[in-house]
Amino acid sequence: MSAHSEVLNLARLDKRVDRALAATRRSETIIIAMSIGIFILGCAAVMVSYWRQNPYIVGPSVVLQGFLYWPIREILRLRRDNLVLQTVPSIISGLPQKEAAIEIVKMLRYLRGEQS
Amino acid sequence: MSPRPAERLLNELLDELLESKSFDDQGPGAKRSGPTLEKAALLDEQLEQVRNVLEQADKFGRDAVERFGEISVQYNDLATQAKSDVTILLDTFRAEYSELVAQLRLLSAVYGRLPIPSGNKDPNTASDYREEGSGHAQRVYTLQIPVDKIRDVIGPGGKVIRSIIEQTGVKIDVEDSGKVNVASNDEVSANKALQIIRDLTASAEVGKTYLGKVSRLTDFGAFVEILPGLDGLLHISEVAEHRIKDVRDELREGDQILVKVLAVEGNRIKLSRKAILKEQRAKMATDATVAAEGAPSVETSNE
Repeated sequence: MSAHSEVLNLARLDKRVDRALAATRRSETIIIAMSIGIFILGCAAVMVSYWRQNPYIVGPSVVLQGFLYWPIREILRLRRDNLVLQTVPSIISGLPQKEAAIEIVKMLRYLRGEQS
Repeated sequence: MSPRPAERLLNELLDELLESKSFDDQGPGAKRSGPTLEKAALLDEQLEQVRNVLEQADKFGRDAVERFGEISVQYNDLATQAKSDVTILLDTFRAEYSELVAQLRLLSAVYGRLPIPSGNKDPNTASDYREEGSGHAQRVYTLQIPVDKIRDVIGPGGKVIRSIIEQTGVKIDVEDSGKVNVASNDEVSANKALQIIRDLTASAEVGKTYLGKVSRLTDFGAFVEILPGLDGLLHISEVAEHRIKDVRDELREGDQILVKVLAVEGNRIKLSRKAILKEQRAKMATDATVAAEGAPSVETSNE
């Protein structure tokens, strides 16, 4: 028995997945933009330093470039979310209700980093 | 921090799957009321704990039943063994008791002084004893005296009781309850000692007549010893029926007279000789009347 009952019909499920993917994509866009901004600021600081012949200006730019660690990590997580979201409709439609729930639990643990 | 869209969607889907009606017949998850995975996991954990506890209780119960069975068997064995032992002991005791009674009867025949229960009766109810032993058998006589008289029997420093023992040759034991045991081989001596003790512990009774000894004369009367160590006052007005001026006209020290106890007030005893004399005179008058009534018939017969 598949899990798409009256509560979970595929059309509705697709819409919800699409909404989630759109939200993820929006977040991803914002983070990418912020990362580009940080990167540009860093590059600008290097150029100003070179132009002014003042090496002390490069220090803050290096720190600023270091902040790129978190945006990049978040982008990777959002990509992973996208992958998971894209598999949800097939799982819900193809597996029995109990097994679908088990698979969703596994995916939740994967997203939370509890399971590789 | 709010969850990411993908995580939120998965949570919602999971909740809807768990709450779905078609999940009802698919095991323990069917009744899960909590919308979250954590609640479901918690319920599972609690169910597991309850199951473990039930299993332990069941195991304990089975062990207890098994152990009880073993104890019951052991108890029955012990009870049977104890019953057998007690029966053997009782038989041994009966045999030894019979032998002992036979020996005692033999001894009794030889010495004639031991009380022996009848051999035909049950040892627990044996009550017939030899009524009289030989003349050499020591017998114990018991006398109950008032507790406040124990002091009088013993005397200061045991003087009185020693005196009785010296006089009669008996053994005297006075208990705190007032029980006096007099042990003696000689019945006469024992009776004598008992009489002394009775006299020592006797108290004057109102209305009773005593043969007393005049111990002292005074202007107002005489003191008469009605019992050993017990003096009463015979007032001058109670000495005789007629009025007397001096007691010495009627009585002398050492005289033995009959007196009647009029009253007892603490340690003071009031005596009367006049009452005795009156009674005697009344009796004599009665006797004379009887004699006078009988006399005419004699005369008639003589005529």
